[in-house]
Amino acid sequence: MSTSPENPDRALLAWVKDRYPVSKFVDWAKHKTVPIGPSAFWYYFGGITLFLFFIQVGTGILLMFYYKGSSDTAFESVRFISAKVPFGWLIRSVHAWSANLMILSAFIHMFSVFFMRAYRKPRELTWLSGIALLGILFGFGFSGYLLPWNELAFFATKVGTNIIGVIPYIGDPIMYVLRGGEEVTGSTLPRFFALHVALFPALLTTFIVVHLFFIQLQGIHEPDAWKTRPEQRKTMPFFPHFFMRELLFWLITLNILAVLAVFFPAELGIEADPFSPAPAGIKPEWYFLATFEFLKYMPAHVGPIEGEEFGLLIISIGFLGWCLVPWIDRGRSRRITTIVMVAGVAILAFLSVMTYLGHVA
Amino acid sequence: MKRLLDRRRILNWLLGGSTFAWLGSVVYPVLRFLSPPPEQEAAVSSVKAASLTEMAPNSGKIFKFGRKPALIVRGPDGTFRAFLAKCTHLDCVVQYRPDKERIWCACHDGFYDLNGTNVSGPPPTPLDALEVHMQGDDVYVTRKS
Amino acid sequence: MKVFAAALIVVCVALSSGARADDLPGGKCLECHLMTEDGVGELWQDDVHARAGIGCDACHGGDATQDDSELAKRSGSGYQGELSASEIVLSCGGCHSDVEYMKVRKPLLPVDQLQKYQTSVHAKLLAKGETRVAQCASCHGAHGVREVNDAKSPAYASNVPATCAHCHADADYMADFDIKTNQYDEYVQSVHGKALLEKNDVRGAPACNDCHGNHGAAPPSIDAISNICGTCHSYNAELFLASPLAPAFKEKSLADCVACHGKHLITHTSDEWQGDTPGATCRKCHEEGEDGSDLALYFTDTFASVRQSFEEIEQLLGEAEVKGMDVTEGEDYVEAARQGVMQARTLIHSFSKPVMEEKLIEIAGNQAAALEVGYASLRALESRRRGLAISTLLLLFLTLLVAIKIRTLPPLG
Repeated sequence: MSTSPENPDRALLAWVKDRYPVSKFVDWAKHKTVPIGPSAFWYYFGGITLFLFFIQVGTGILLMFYYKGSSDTAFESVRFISAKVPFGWLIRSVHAWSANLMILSAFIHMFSVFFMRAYRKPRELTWLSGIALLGILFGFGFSGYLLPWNELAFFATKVGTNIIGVIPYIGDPIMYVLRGGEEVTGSTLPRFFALHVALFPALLTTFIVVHLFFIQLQGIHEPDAWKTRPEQRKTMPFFPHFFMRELLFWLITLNILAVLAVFFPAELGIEADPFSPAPAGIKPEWYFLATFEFLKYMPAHVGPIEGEEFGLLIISIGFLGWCLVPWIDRGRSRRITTIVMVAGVAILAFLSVMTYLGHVA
Repeated sequence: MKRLLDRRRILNWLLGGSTFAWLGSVVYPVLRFLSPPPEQEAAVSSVKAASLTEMAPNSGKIFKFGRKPALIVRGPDGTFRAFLAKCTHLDCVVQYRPDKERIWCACHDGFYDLNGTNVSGPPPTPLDALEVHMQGDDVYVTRKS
Repeated sequence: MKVFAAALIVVCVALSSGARADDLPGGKCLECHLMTEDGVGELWQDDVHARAGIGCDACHGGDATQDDSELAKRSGSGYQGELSASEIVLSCGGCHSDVEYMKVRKPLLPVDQLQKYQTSVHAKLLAKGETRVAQCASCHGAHGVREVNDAKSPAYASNVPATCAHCHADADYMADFDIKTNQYDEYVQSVHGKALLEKNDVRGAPACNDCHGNHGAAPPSIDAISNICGTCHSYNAELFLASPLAPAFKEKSLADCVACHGKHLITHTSDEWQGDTPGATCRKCHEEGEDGSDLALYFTDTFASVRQSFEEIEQLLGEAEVKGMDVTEGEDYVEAARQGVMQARTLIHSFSKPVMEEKLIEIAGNQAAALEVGYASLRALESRRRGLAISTLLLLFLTLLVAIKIRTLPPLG
């Protein structure tokens, strides 16, 4: 970060500038700003989610140097990484914790965007692409969880794919293709591995680029209040002010990951045995707990529809409403805005309570 | 002289130095991780059990197959056979008896023949068989496909 | 009487519409006897002899072609009626000891049962007129005789103890005979009894006849007990017979195996048997400070220290595992050590210190390796925390510098 005139980088920079329109990019970067204010804290979470994605890719690639993705070798290879490979425990635990933190961070980011009403025009597609990103993250979590081929993961996958099968008409074919057969077997593992290291990364990268591209084009959303009170408008240049602060947060996040890896290492348990009965208390990862727990409360039948189907229907309607919020609340009616915000609080409360109940069950 | 004392310069050098040091603490584990450890993974699917020169005909050897004890037997005719060494009666570890040309369990005098079939005593079922492959002078054992 | 017989015939004929009297040999006898209260006819349907084509008349005599009972049982027909105990022995034995007869009908069946039986206490008492003894029908049944490997046969392995106990556990029945009646109770509590009766290990666990024999049932001779136990526990027997105790036992006419392990109430062994303190098994012969007690003490001490090591290992590995370390290798060493201990317990029967020492070195090696896995895990945990501390300190320092740097940036606004 030296800025003295004797900086040798200058020559290199000159070489690049000779060939590529670097100055245009530098100008754009210099003028990019970020709003300052009481809600500025929330602006970091998008970046933290991105940072955690980089961590995931990095640790994921490292893990692939030793992971063997077949049902008779997977467990042992993960045990080998955790026990024998130097710092294997660190890479694996960071990967596991970073997955959880990334989804948490994405949720925080999404809810903060919601409550700041940044989904409104012109950012509807940014909102939708963000939801798509969250969905892909769930896919990452679900597919990655099975890869160690341990008992908990095996049965959690069984239960999870069962729920997918509840969807009318298309549920069963999707479940069959996901499982690579009728049941979760050794044939399921290669599919989940392909999804986890190839398809989902490709999809995620595409949507990240789209999401970030939209943001760069339209600039970061500014608080509604500034529209009526422009004198309150205060911004911070992205480079170097916001960037340095963000970098700091990134470094702190990395250290938190390291602390979690040392004091709360990822568990392995025992190898999956398709022939043994399911142990008691199987539950999915925390981000699926709300749905899992909610479905338990459904009665056997609601009218002509099966209880679980009904539950999924409710969740789907809620999800659809969430996606369409930019078209529900266009900022033209105060009442609608209030209702939508209250609904948002209610949904957040519902998800939190359901997750908690699912955890202590 | 004055420029050396320039606080900004010191700050920048410190910043650069500590960044470098911190980066080192991140890169060092990654590099160590990438270098394969000397102890190889406990082979679960294919294990080198013995070599031709090491085992005379009519002899047996216990080896580790993944985490389980296994037995490789070189019969009097020179051919190799391998089994999981767990007796099917009460789980004792079996051994080869050259004097009887049979596999024997010391716990309750159970006997298996060279094909692993239970021929005498309490064992109710044959031993779990493994597949044997030769690779030059080495004898490799894998799970039965 | 005649009226009764006629009525019986009428009833039998009336009820015989569903009967299979004509399907099984027995001839016309079954026309009446199929429906009798004693269920003899029913039993006969499952009998091996019936399937072999042998009729009622083969043992009972009489004329099986007559459906009139008076005609069937007329004098001159050879009708014997119900057989007495001695008659049973001769009847069964008559065919089953006839080599020429049996070898063309069921060649693999032994033909020495009668011969063996004649040597037994049962037969000898029977010869003196005592009918309350076991004969063929007592154990095999008379009319529903099944093959011995048929699970419903009273002579099937897991049914044998109850069959013998029918008399031998009945204190009132056995009151006139000079023999204890607690064997079945003891057997049921023993490892053999539990294996056979609870775990159904018919191939491995002995029933009464595996040690006492079948037809010539007799307690094993005192100088051949290792033979009997050694049929299954061959290694223990081999070690014992080569040990210094074998000649000593022979000299003192002590029962091998039984002297320490019992005969019917054979329980799991325990490390407390070792040693020369009161209550220990070795103490039965070796008082404290006597010849042989030092070996007993050696066994006690070494097994105790092995047990203690196991406890230490369990605690250590448990601690490492709770803290998130992988201890599977340690568990593998523990398993190897446990196998070693099982072998060591067998090697006790050699009653030799050098033999035991060799095995104990192997066990100690495995235990030490397990401990090392545990200690290495805890050390690794420490080094992880140290590494984290260093990295965190570096980061804190860096954070501080960046914060200062941020302050030097051009002010906002």
